[in-house]
Amino acid sequence: MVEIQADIIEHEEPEASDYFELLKPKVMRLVVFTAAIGLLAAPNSIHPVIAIASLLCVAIGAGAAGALNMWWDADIDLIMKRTSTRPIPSGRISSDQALALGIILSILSVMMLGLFANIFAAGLLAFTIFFYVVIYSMWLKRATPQNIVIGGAAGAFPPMIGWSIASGGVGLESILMFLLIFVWTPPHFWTLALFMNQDYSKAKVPMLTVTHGMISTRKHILVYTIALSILAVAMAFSSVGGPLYFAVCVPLNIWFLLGSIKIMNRTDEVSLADNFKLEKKIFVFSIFYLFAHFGVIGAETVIKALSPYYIAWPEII
Amino acid sequence: MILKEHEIYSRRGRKNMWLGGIMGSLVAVIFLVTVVKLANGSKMQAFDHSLRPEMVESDKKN
Repeated sequence: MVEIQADIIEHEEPEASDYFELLKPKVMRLVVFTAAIGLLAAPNSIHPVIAIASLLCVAIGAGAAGALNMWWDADIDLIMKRTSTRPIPSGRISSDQALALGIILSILSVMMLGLFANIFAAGLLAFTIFFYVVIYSMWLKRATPQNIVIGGAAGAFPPMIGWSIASGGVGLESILMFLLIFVWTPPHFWTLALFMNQDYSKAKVPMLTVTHGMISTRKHILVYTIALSILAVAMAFSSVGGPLYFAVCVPLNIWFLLGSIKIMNRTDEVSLADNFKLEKKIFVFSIFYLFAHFGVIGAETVIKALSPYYIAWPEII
Repeated sequence: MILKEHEIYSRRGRKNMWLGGIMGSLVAVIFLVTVVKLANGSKMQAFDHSLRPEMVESDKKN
């Protein structure tokens, strides 16, 4: 399906920045950040050089998955306004180059992580790349409106990889961090789908907005945000949580919940009239929401390590 | 006589500089990790099916 682009568009000599864009740097940033927090929150400590080198491997692995995703989705990226300027649909990089780069970086990142950290972390990274490219991009994305619900797991693995880099395994806390991103993904992407619905319809991607309509999507956003809030607040009472996490998490979740309720109560006419102002605002907020949660998990870890007499806090989970 | 170099050469030059930098950084990272692993007591030699003095020594101790 991607060869079409190579035939239609005459390629210019790509710039280094075109290759970098192929690695989805914005996604990479979130992946590295959550993996770093997972690594920091793990009970075992590792040498900073090993930690940085391992996180570099995670970043390269995430970039490789991004390149392979762009290779596979080049046909629909061309149709969608949001993605039409990506390197392949805009003709700056051929799909073959993207495929080669994706495969080489996937192998390199997994191999190096196995050598730098451990086999378990490398296996988890390999599975994450496989899940994102094969399970999500190739299979679910064009097959079911549950695409981002199940596919969201790919974006949720990085804190588990980070945790396993330090500990060599899985812990309850790393599963909780996984769940936080997993449950956050649907409301985040469905909010985006609300104001990008035309794009998805045109590209025939069965997003919930396309298959079940806007009203159903608005309800789904609220249901998932309720589940997310319960999980996020519950995490305050695990070993990665604490009083600071609780103090930050509660207002953020109230804000997200109120936003979701407002989204549900809006009609399409109202949203169209102000060009989906609220939906766009909540979408941007949801990114901040995730960064803030992981940021405060990191802060809790540092505070606990530095001050042994930190406020007594119940750890129920 | 060609006085002006085509733009594509400068673009390739920039790309090659980036590639060189990335390859150099990769070598530096591998070197640093090796130093740290050795300093932390990781094995310097894997079993290679040949008898080494330290193996004989350890046998004597046992």
